[in-house]
Amino acid sequence: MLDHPAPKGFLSRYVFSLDHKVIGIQYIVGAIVMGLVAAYLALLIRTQLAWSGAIQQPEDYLAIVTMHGTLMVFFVVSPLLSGLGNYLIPLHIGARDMAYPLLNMLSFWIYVLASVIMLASFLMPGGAAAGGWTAYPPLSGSESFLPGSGWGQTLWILGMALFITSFTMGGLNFLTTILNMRTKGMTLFRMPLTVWGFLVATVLALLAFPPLTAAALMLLFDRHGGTSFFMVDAVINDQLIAMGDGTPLLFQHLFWFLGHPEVYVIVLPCICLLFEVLAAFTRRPAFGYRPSIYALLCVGLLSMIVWGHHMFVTGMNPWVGKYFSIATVIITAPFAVIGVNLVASVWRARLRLATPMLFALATISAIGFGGVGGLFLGTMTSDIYFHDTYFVVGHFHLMIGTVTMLSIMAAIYFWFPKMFGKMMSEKLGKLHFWLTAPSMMAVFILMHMQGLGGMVRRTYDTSVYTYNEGANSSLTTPITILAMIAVGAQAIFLWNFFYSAFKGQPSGRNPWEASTLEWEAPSPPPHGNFGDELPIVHRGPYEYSPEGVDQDVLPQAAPDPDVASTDTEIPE
Amino acid sequence: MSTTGIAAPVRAQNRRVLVAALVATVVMLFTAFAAAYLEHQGAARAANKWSPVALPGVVWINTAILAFSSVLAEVFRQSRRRGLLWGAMGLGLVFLGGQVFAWLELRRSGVYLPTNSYASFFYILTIVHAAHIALALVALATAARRPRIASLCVGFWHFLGVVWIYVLFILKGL
Ligand code: HEM
Ligand SMILES: [Cu+2]
Repeated sequence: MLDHPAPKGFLSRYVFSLDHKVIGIQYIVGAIVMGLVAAYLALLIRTQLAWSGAIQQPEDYLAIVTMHGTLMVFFVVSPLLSGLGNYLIPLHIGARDMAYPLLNMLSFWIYVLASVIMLASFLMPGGAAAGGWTAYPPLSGSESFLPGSGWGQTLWILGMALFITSFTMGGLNFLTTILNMRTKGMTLFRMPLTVWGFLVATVLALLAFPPLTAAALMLLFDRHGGTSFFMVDAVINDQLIAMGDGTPLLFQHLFWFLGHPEVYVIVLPCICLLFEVLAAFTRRPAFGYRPSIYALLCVGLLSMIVWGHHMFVTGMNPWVGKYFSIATVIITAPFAVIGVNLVASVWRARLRLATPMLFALATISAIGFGGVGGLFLGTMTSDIYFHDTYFVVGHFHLMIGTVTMLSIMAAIYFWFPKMFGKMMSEKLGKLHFWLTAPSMMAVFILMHMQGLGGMVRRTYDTSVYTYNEGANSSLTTPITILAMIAVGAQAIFLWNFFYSAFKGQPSGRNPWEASTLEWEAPSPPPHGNFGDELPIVHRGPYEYSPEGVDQDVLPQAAPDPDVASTDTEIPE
Repeated sequence: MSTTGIAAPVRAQNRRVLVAALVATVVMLFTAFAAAYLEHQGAARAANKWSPVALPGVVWINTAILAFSSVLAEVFRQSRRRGLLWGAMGLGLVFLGGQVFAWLELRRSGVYLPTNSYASFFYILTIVHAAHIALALVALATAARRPRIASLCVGFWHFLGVVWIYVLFILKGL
């Protein structure tokens, strides 16, 4: 039951494909390309900091940091998840494709266009946008403040607008597909947690991006229409620059109303997919399936009302800050439920330490370290000290950099056999893991130490400011070396990925003996995913080592064994 | 493998979810503008600088036109007489023309986009709303040929009418 016939030519098969699997892989490859750019920028940042013989001018440094952050969040991690979601959701829920294949294809190509425009920011007179990935006005509002705030910033805004369009289109597809296209027997509470993660993330994205769109539009008007929604008069080099009497704080509210939920948009699917990997490599059900879902829903809801914890030191009313502080501490409770369930899923289990499992385990520890740092930043009193130090940089890299990257790696190693019908090399996978995970964690944990010492972020040469003296600055060079190892190790991954896609060992249908629907399909699944008949779901997603049955696993689609399991009826 | 496509009831359900989600995003967009407006109004009032400008009279005529267009669209939805749909769309175009007239009118009286923050909000809110109306007109045009999506398109058209009232409420009532 598929709208579009199987494609014939090269173009319709691999380039303008309507097939969710091809689009998923396109997203992943596109994001890998952008990831190379963004990682290169990260190394430029780190070399500048470690051997700061004034290689970069301060404006260049700020542009590099800004573009690194923007690319990583919106053009690497988000599209990686768009790719995984595209690939996995229909297979996971037993659908033949997304609800709207054409919309799906358009959203990918708009992402490509957005990427090109965003990168073109570097080519503009004055250089790329440099006002930070947060693009706070007035800094981002006028060239008189920063050369990058000229055309570079305009292209940044246009690139972001296109990205938002693409992501919203993708989100509409995810939502309709998950809600309506499930196969027979796939009730909401039999969906794999990965799909739940994508569902909550999608709803958050659809609700949180429009205010950023509003803010971007107003910023555009401020820059090119002479309005002053956000702009204020400023004094630069003893000169008064008249900009009007807007309210810069307003932009921060609108930005973080998106910015905080966006963190959850990328982190929640990453955390949820861990359950899948853990279950398969412990041969036990994921611990606390329903509690995890309820916790997920609470986290999603609460994440919309905590954004002000990014703004404690902006001069916002302290009582408002107090509210945001309390709300932030409350959100750690459901989050901790998920964390405990993750740990309980591996507690005393017999682990099969294949590469995906190694990455999954490392992700759990990154969640732990990142979570602890978050407590200090969510508490207003300590954040006043930590704000704008490397403590913040270390913290958010653990959460939205390390957690996401390690978890996505787990996912790619786990689902690669499904995508290409080939295995990735285990040897290279393990080597990649041991070079990546420890060094990445070390980089960002050490950044916390510098932050504790008061090292200030977004500073092109920390040694020119005396207040950075004693801020554990002797760690700067080791951090840079570790970062080089972490980034360099990705060469092994790239080789493994592309080589195995063509030359890997054949994987067969279900190499991990996993239970969910995608493993019922051949590897790689044909056009339309499943054969003539869609699979019918008989039970929840993680029936590993089921009781009373002489079987290692009861796949979701397997008919009931002789001994009845408790959950057998097929609801309509 | 059969290629009959996604089953009709699933399709209908997909469309409903799609439109509901679109409505939610538009609501969030205009809520953000309303919040921004309130913030500006508060700050400007505290500094004794809040100076709303009189809206051009044509705005009220436009409101009536949009309301009438919604009525025609609704009767179309129930009777499926295409002429009514063309009528509703024609009125939608007249509304857009009326909005352009309102902007020119303001310009003539010396109120430009940057004049003051009330004017800025007037322009940005009406421009964003007009952009949505323009896109919805395209959707309505497709509804003429595809009766199954007609109801949803008309529903969205009504929704944009409500958003217009909301815009007026922000500008006159807050
Ligand atoms: C090994 C990999 C990485 C290294 C070495 C690295 C390094 C850095 C450094 C040193 C900064 C701060 C520079 C400064 O404040 O002066 C920074 C900023 C940032 N990074 Fe990374 N990063 C890496 C990966 C990532 C990833 C995966 C993400 C994904 C979300 C990310 C997102 C950001 C963001 C959002 C900023 C803030 C930009 C701003 O201040 O406007 N980074 N990175
Ligand atoms: Cu936050």
